[in-house]
Amino acid sequence: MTTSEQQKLLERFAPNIRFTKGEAYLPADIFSYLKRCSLVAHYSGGEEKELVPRGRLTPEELTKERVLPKGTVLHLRLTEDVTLREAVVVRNRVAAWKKSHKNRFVTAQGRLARVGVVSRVIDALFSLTLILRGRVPGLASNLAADVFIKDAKHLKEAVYYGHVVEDKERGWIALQYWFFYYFNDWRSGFSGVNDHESDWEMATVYVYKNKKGTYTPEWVAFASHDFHGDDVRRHYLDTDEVLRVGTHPVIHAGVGSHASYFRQGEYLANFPLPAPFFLRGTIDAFVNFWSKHFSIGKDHLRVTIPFIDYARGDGISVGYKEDLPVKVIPISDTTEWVSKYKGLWGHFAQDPLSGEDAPAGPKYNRDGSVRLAWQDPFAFSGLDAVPVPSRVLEQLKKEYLHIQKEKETYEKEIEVLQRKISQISLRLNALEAITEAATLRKGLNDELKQLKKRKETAYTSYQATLLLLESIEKKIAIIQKGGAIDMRGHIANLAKPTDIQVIRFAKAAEIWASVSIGLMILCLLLTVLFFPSNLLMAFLVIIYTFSILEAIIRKRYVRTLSAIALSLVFISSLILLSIYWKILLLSILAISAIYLVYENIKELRAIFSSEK
Amino acid sequence: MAMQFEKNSVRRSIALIVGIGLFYCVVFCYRAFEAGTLLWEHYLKYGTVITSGDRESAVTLLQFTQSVVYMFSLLMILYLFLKLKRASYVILLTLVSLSLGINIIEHFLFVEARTPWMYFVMFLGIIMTISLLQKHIQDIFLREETR
Repeated sequence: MTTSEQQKLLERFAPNIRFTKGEAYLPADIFSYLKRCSLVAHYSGGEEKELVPRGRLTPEELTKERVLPKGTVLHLRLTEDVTLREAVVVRNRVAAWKKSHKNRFVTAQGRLARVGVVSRVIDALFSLTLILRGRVPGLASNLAADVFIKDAKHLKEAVYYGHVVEDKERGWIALQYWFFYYFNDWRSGFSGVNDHESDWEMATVYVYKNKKGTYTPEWVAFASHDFHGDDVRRHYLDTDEVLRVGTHPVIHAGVGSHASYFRQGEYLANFPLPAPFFLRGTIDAFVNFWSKHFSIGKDHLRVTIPFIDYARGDGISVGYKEDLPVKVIPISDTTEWVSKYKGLWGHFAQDPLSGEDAPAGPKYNRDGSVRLAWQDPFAFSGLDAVPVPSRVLEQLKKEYLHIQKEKETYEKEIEVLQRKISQISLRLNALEAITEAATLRKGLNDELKQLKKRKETAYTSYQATLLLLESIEKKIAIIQKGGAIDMRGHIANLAKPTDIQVIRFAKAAEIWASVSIGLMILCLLLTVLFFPSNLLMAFLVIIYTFSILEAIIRKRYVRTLSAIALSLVFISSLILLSIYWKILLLSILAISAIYLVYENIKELRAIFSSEK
Repeated sequence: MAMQFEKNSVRRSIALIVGIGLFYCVVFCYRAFEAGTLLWEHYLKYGTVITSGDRESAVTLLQFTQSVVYMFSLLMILYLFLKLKRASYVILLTLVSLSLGINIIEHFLFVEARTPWMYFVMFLGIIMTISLLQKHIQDIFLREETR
């Protein structure tokens, strides 16, 4: 494909982005950003050195060969330290700009009111960790917004970076769009997970060349946070999921985070609390067991931290027929700033969880390895296992022939096994009356059992091939008739905007959600002061009482009660185990002994009966 | 066939729940009476049901509460048996959880309450809770919610 063909395709399917009110940034070009930044080397000892001062940084300077000591992190720095007076001026200026542009974020039901008490405790602990972890300074978001507002004053178009990857073997072409934002202010602006200087987001449209020689769009994948795989991919024609303006799919961007969503709304992202590695297996086994046998879903057994991504789409929009047009600039491995600069595109906050560190460019991860999305955009969205529609029929027919051969093999195997079974049955029949042939009979009996088992297995596989052939035949018939496409079969977890939860006494519940954790900690403190001898018990009673109150407000009484009952069962079982472990052990041994005796007697009986 | 199996397993589970419940209740009628008498005597002697620092009366009060909890569960079980109502299920699960909670409190706070009898009750409570939390049982009783 020629460069101009690539450019035409990129422009034809470039997504529109609809932002939420309160968003301060738009997809921008990196050149104006670089002009605002300095290039800094962070050495492994902790000291920093400015390599290129603010105002002099160009793409050439950025990609210049530099010999740096091992462990050095190269990063840009957009914001600088300012005095308190300057900070207040900047903050007021940004607020005034948002007000004058009617771009103020409208708060809805708070995230804390949408989640349970345990998640709120974890959230409080997570917020406390920010004090200990490295993080982007609080003023940075206003400073960055101020810089962007100045740069965007005469902005006539938003900028996307387009990357085209062809999978010649399977026929797919990935049109990858990279969006660059000056800053991610999800945490400081919208109670999200993190803040960081610069932000790279991505969306991909997958097309293929049809029999007429034109390009047909088939799939769309949007990146949101660190998710990848089948779940991020939607069918281009799935109108419930993929909104389109002409040929352009629409992205609803999360305010502050810039994560891309298909449908507009508010997404409750429950980030699971990472468990220590040595406990993960046990926890997973426990959760799987309970969710399988009892009515408590996996999601309710895991502790998560709640965050909301507001992707309302009620703010400014960019793209075809939107508020602002877009320009797509092609990039590839030969683009120097893409391939040669492996450093971070903003402040290196030294956050051990990395959430507050600026991201690296479109090609690289923070550690310098190549991003999966860049290297293999097909594997990123699980498309590496899917053929293009024009080749599906051909591949299905091939598979049909292959399974038919398998079926014939099983038929032959069953026939041979049946012949052997009949043979051995005949021999056994002949030996029936002969007393001295007991050992021979036992051997033949064992062989017969094994043959029957093998025949059973072969028969199950044979049945499976029949089922497969039937379903492939049906599938071929549907395709030949030009029938319906399975648009969502690949999706395990469909991301849906959350409904505003039904909460009793809505205002009171919001207040309760905000104060309850503090109140609970106070109760725990009072317990430490006044009932120091029964701490554990008092803690449990307080936590259970708060959970029950919470459940009544949220109309989740049964679910919470089930979880509490489950935990009580767990504690009681531990108590019983600690006291009666000897009896339990003896019981297990006794049962095992009885079982062994029973099995042996059964075998003995079989021998006696065959001797008769 | 699957339907039949499901019906049978539901019947078995309900029978187990009701069986344990009835067993509980007969015994607890007696225990409630016994503990109630002790509390009443205490009240006549000191003018209160429980006096500060008197651990014995505290244990008696706990046992009385637990016994009453199970007496009520008898009513619930009968109702459950007859009507298969959501409310009866919720109340029964609440009562059983409450009883397990009381057992745990007894175990940790009152050494004198740690009798084999108490642990047997705890064991029954565990079985009953697990029976109540089973998927098919919840599906039947909480049908409105699962829909």
